[in-house]
Amino acid sequence: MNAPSDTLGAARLAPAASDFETLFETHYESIARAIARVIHDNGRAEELAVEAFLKLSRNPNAQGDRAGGWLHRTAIRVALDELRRRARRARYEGLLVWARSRQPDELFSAAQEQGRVRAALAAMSPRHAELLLLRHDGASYEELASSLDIHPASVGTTLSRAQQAFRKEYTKRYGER
Amino acid sequence: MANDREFVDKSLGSLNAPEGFSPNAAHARIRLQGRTAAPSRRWLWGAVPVTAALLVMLSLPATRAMAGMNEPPVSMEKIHFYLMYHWHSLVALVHGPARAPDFTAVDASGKTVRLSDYRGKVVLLNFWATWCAPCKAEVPWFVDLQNTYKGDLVVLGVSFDEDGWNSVRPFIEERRVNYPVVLVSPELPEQYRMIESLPATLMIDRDGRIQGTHLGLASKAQYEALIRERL
Repeated sequence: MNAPSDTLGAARLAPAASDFETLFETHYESIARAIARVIHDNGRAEELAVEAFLKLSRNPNAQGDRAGGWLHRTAIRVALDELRRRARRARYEGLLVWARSRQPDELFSAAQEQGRVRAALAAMSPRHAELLLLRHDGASYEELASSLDIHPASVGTTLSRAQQAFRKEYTKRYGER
Repeated sequence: MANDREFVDKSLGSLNAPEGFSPNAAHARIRLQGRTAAPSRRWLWGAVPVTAALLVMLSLPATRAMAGMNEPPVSMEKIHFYLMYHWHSLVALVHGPARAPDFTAVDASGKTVRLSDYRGKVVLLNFWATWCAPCKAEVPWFVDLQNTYKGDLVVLGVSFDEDGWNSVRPFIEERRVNYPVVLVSPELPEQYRMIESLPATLMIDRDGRIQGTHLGLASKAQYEALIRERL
């Protein structure tokens, strides 16, 4: 591995560029995969993974023992932002073509489970969507509390509300499964 | 009936990364280095209100009279034209050019084609089908353009033929198609919602951003002009 100063512009990544380099080595792939799972777009997932590391490099407080968890939370957040941005864009683009009939391929595609789940996640509250994805990825109640800045005792209730909200959004769009 | 937790677990469990995804840490490292070296663009946010104030001032009748400008800055005809024919461009004006959603597919030779692998080249993404006469008319032009600009351009054909390679393979062999052609996947129409009819061609720049969408038949000269703009 090259020295950090050769690879990541360590002078700008103060205070702990070597730690940062190690973090990048350890977590880049899993971060990119976590994002790709949400947005289903490899190229964009890699770009967003770089964004997550850029945020980390600009936030010295997030570096250290808990940087891995911080990165994962940031990755989920940027992935959900991207999902919502796409949904918004699709809505704007569809404004003038409301009268067109849906193409057979489109109907087939909309029937795909992954697309439905992503659409429901993009439509619900960002906090709830983030909570569900982090919990599904194995985050503990303490990590969820720190991620969403809520009291650990409230995590169970908030999680339950998020699950209800997801099911409600999904059912409203596609009916009961 | 499953409870809410089980429902969510089952739903989120269905999500997975696209097949064959292999993050490239070396490219990401270079990209990160470039981003950390780039100067901050925060000054842009300061420029927005200043520009908006200038535009408002320019549109006021008093200011325009002083400047001797009699025509309104934007006529209703122009607005109508943009709304009717350039809605996607208008969205792009507000949101910036859209990133071309990445996808992976297999071409006629069985080779895996990934759109993001063509970053650094201009991509003409052409949605077509063998049953679509205007689409077939464009194919020889794309073959010529691919020959002329082979170092910088990739034409990528996406076929909507329902019977897949049965129709597509003989066609591309007969026409000696020299660019990759893949079959549409169930996800593609969802990713490229702007495709409402065939043929449809997207001009994707070297950074993977959609710089133009053309629905319907265009001329070879039009395509060539668009390509030259982006080279």
